Amino acid sequence: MSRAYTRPLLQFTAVLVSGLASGSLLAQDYEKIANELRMDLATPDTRIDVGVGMVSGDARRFGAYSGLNSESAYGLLNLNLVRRDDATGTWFRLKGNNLGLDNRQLRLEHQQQGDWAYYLDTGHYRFRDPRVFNTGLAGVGTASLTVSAAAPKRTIDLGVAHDSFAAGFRKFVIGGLELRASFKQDERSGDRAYGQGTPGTINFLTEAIDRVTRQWELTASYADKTLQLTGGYSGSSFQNKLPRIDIAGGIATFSPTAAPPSNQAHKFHLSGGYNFGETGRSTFKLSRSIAKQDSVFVTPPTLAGNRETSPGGREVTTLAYADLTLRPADRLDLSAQLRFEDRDDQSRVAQYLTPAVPTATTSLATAGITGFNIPRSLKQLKGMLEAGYQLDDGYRLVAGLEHEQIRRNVPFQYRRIAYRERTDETQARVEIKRMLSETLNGGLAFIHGYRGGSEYVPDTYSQATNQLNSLIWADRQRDKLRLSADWIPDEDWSLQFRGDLGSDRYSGRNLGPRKGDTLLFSADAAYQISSKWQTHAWLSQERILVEQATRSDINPATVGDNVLWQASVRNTTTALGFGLKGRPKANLELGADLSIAADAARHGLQRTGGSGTDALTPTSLPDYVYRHLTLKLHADHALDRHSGIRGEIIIDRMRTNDWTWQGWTYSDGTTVTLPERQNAAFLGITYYHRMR
Amino acid sequence: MNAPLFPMGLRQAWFALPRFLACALAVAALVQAPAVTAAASSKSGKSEAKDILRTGDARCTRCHNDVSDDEIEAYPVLPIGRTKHGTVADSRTPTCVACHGESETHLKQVGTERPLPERPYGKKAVADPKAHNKTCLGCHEGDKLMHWASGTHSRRDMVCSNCHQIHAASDRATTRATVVAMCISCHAEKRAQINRPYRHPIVEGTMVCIDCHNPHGSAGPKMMVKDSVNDTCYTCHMDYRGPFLWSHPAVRQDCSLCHNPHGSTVAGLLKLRPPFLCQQCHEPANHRGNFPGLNNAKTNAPGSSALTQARGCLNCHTNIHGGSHPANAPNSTRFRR
Repeated sequence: MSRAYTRPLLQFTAVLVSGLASGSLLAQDYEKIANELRMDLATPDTRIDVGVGMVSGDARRFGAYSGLNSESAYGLLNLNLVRRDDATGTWFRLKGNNLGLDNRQLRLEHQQQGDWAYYLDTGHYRFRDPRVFNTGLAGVGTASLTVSAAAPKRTIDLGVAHDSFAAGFRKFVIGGLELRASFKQDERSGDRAYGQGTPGTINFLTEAIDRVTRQWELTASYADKTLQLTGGYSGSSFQNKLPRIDIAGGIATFSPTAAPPSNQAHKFHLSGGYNFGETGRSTFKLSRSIAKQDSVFVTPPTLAGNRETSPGGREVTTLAYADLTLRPADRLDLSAQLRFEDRDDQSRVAQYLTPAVPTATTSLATAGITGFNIPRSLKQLKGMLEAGYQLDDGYRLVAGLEHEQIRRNVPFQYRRIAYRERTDETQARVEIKRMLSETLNGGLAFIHGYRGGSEYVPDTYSQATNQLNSLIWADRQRDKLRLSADWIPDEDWSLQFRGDLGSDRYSGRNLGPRKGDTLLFSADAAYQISSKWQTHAWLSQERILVEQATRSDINPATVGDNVLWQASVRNTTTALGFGLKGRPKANLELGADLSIAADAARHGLQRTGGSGTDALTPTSLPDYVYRHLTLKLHADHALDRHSGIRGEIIIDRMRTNDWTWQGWTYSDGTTVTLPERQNAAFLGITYYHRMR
Repeated sequence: MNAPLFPMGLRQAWFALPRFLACALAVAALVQAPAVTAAASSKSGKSEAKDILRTGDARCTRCHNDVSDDEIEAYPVLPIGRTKHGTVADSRTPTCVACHGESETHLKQVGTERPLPERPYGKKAVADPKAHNKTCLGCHEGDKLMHWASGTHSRRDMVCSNCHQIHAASDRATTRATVVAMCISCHAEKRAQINRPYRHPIVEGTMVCIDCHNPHGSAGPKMMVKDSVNDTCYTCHMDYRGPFLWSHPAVRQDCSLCHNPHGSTVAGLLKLRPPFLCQQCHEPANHRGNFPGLNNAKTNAPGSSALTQARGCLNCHTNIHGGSHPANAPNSTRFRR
């Protein structure tokens, strides 16, 4: 419950109580005012918040999405205008959030509940890249760039603005039938960091963004107590107004470069649910969509004789889903699911590039071996069975079995990794829960899974390879242990504990991922100190270890010249938080929330074999550290039944040693600086007014 | 940062104002009303209670009236009148007993402890969650709740009131400003992830959990709002939908193979820093198996910072999601232009 709605009234209540206690109010006066308060509580109202906020310190990260990114004052304006005609059930809402900031949104809704409704929605937000770019690149903001190492350097800010508009309409027609239509458009503009590279030269570029995405939908729904159906059509389109980037002065053969081409998709869908009496239900979904990518090439195909002007991309996706849930006996629950998805890439296949003979020494410098495009199709079939049985003494046993099969098309000639046409993964789950009492619940789950698949189809590039377990389709054994406990000893205390232990073991081939371990625990506690104060605290830690191996091989012609090496990447995330909220007086609310998080990554590299020289022995990379602290304080002081003042302070501190850009200089001389520390503070004061 | 919340003068005035108003009201009441001693009797006169929100609700609101009783104020009831459930002109909206049951034992308390209503919706566990949820599903079973029964939350015995606050004027589960805090109270690992340096604008509320996930279940994996992970990502990142002439197989299969959408310490919300991420799939021929380093070279030789720093492997393979540019060297098939 949002106490914000009741708080202003409480002050008034205090007056009433004191009035009653002192015998200064008549009973009928009390009832009159109390009834007025009740109506206040139960009647939709309007609230307007107006204020000013100030940011101090370096806030480039803090305000990256909100616009609160520099030392300045900001207008704060929130609006929630709500009117309801109780006689007809007609609502009018106008809701504006962060109207003075970069992430602002305004939405208008008008509806007669249970009959018709429409809405209009407009929003804006801008992502401001917190990195500082010092570059001589000319043409930033356009799709015609000039790279020059000799050009004088200057600092540029990058970012992308999103302007959205949405509208929708719904109407209930007779007999539980509802029709809906919606449209949404998102326009993006700005620039983001980009680049071009070939061994020896890596240049900084920017990618000018001028793109529009649109989504529209028409649906019809029917619902009664037994049967529910929803069906309709949805479409979407992506329009890139700058699909071509011309680059002068850079790597000559990279100009022009293609930006993502425009595309569109259309989908028809039908889903439904049916209740079998009180104990059974089945649902389904069927859909078929066509995605097309047929925008004009930014340059004609290289291969002489190919006169295609667009890629003729076409993907047809078919989805069939069904489930069944049953309670055949008082103590037994059954659930079954079956899902099939076929993403059939029906793109036109043609030879676009000059074919080249795939030899070990020439293939890398040439185009695409065969020169043909490669459609990628995928079929997924997944089934699940689960049963839950209520045992005696509050125990509940849940057992489940899942199987997933994925089939992919394998390119006939040009393959740069060893493929698997089919993978099968089976997973079994057993969980025992016990409701120890009305207030104590506990559960222990064990999950075991195994993934295997068809024979590997070898990489065609080099006979030296074909040794790697690709993460996507490697043989894998997965085990998980999950422990959970919820305890609500009394009305004041609430405690939660979660623990997850996971292990992945890869096998079958020598290189690639070998193991992955995860450990997660979290503990939460909430305590109602008194009728006026409540507090909560939490602590969690997540540890992830990824161990993988591969081989450096500078010359594929000399298979023996290599170094086998292994990486053990450990990520540890520790987070804790504390919150306090209270109402020391009827008209005053105070709150504090502190959260601290620390991320650390270690990249243990070690040589494990091979015949390369000592100079080719890897050395470990520096550890990565990221620490983040946020302290939020707020005070809300009700001035009267309808208005109040709210103050908010946010202190946001960040520190990192992220070495991603440290010491790095692009070939064109561009440098990038990532703020390693941030001490930002925000102070906001708003006046709010409520009215019925 | 260390500035006082309010300037002292203003602060004093603000704090003094309500006290002044309270005193003024009390004085006004004292002046206007003759002193009586039976005021409290109005509180005990619950038998005279009238309906507040809708016909027949006095049965409940004679006690649950939110105004003066501290215990009741802890679970405010009347703000339901501000919600769609409180729109009486809509004949579909429920009465108190429609959701809570007749609750005769609760009404007719015998003994010192008042039994709970027939169907309570508090924090405490319920013995039969599926039966418990029938009350809500009786009306809300189609559309976005179509697949609730087979969804993960239902199968893990969650009840509607674990998330939803039906009587609240603003339900935390459907309010963008509060829904993230609610979700991460159980999905604990996400608490730190959404504050990582590379993230979606979740903290700001521009994007929230229910933009991508349907907690009531769906026909897609991970309760995505669309039919697949990729279709959900494409609603915003349509740039990468293709189908391209040359597609990256991992991209076609599942965006979350490479990305952690909840937040990452690696640019691009990648799960691992390149080249480690890329080497999880790519055979070690040529430079693809080379180990990273910080030797500040712009090559792809072992130990080169070009494999590790800036955009790592993506320094050269810039269009990693796929491309439809039929140009030769440096070729498009390897996503370099």
